[in-house]
Amino acid sequence: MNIVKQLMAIPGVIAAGEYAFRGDRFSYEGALTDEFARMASILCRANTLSVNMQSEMVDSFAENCGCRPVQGWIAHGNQITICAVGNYFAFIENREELLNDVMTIMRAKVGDIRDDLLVNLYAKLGGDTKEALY
Amino acid sequence: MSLRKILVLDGVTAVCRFRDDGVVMEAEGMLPPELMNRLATFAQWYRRMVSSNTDVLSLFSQMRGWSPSQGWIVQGDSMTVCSVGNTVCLVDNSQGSLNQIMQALGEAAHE
Amino acid sequence: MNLDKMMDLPGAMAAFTYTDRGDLQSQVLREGTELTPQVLDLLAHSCVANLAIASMEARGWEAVTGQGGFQPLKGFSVVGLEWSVVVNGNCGVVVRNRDVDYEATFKALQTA
Repeated sequence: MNIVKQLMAIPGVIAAGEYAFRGDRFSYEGALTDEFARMASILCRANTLSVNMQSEMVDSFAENCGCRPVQGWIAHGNQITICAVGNYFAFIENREELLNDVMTIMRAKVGDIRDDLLVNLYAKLGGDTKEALY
Repeated sequence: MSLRKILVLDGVTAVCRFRDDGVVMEAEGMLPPELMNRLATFAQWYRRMVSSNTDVLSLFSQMRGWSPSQGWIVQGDSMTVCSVGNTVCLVDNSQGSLNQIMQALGEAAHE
Repeated sequence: MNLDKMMDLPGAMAAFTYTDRGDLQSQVLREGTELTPQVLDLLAHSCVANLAIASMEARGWEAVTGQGGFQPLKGFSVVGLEWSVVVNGNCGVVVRNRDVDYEATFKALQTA
């Protein structure tokens, strides 16, 4: 089953989707408007780039310490949590056991992210991974 | 602008132009190749990070003028790293003018 | 802050505290781990940055969308290949992914 559909079938998952590197391509299901989904896509890209950069830095000072490659991140809010694994994201309610379930599904379905972040981010939604971004 | 014209500015100890994947395209200055590679990789990641953070800031502030980002400056105790576009340099804080250096970097980046 | 208690969390490899600026203050390391105080110090700095950025994003999101529930932030986690670092406030835990219980870890960090 498609990852997003599988996530949306779980009670407490508010929205789930995919985002692309530029934030200009995304898809989603759930309680978001198109505009909010676009914003979420931009947010996810920013945080994913940040944590990837940090893990490269940490790895360059402490090689093979086990943090690279980064798989995702979690921002745990007061009542809502955002999880991102690879180029998938989910907004979920802070319910008992839900975060663990969602992370287990996302990690299992997305699989291990390997080194080339841009290839991964573009692969699912299409796009030229060699395209110069600037 | 040739990188040499940036290197001769007061305070600049090393300058490099990097590709989109962080690989050094050209470099000038007294930095060993390994450190120059590290500088380029760091600068490329930082550029991406700053660019996405300015996008987020634009989004939430609804202000124009943040995006697209032009560059960044990290000022340390005695050294500064600054970058515009795909050019980055190391600067000795005790010498030179950051304004002048950023302007020169901007000209070099747009060539 | 009871770091020894944090080490009882499933998969815990290290527990640490840090200043508001990210400087490592104290740590407990599981015997045999490849993590060192130097790596924890680097992690602590990046986690302070991540918490700040996530707080900014939570604030901005709520302001622009009118959607509540994100603030105040209760923590952040970076999920690596083999382990994750989970932080909140001035305390963090590094946990092995195959054993991790994110909820229990975030919960433990609330009461810390």
